[in-house]
Amino acid sequence: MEPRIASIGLNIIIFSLAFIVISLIEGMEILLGVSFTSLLLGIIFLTIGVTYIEPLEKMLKESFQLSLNILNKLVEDTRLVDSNIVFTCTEPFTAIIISKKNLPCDKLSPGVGVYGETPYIMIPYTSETKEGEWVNLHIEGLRSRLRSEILGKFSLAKDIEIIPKSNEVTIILHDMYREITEYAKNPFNPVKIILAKILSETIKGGIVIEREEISGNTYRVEVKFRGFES
Amino acid sequence: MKRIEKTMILFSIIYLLISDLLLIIGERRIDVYLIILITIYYIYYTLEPELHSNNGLKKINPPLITLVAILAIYRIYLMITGGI
Repeated sequence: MEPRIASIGLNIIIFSLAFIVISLIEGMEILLGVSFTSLLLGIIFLTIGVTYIEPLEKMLKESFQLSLNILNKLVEDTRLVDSNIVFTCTEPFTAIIISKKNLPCDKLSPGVGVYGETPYIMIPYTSETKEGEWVNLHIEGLRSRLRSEILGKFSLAKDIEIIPKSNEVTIILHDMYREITEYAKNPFNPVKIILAKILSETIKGGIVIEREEISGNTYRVEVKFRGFES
Repeated sequence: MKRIEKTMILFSIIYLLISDLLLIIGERRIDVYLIILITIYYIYYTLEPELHSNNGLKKINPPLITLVAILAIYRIYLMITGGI
């Protein structure tokens, strides 16, 4: 989407329609041809504006699609396909971990590994927020931050519902975009990973996503906060 | 300025120039305007590789070529029947 080109297109369409009406009422036949061609120009502008994708975005999408093939195979080979959980660590470094169980962060190392008999995949990342500090964020603060990140910055879905419980929240993404829903069905689920990162950075602490459910284009996850665990 | 913006500005200039030229010579037939300008659009579309990957344009291309075909048939019909 390129809003500027789309709005130019919409303006041209509105003006052209006005000119078509005027020329039909006033019987100005000479103006009708130009008005119709301007209408066509407006349609072309609007179409390009609405469907435009940045070239970089195209390249990244292609390369991610290729990377997903190996990431899915990795999740399958480590037998994490069914009932895997995703949790985040802030100490000793910020990372997202895919595993069967909630494992102690300080015993894990980046990449693919085994703790006890539990295999895990650890994806380290550089946090944009200061680490180590637990922030007891008010639910309204969490809600507004998640809305701006999930609906605004990443545009994962059209609406988000957050249901707080004692030490966990249920996040429901309503009307997820079709393409994103397809990605979420992969063994390596990028939506779950990005949700874990956003949540972890928002509360500046570790979180655990234990249950997820996709029904149609609605995605539901249950998130526990590691900071509250005994 | 993004490349797509430059592409669209150039397209608008060519498009409106041809459209104004038809207006100046006093052309009154709507089908002539549409046939010529849709053809201009197709020529520009062919020459500009950035537009090829646009999925929206891929969808509006078949209706436009159908429109040109219908208008051309209509114009030929008028020529045969002497309706011009």
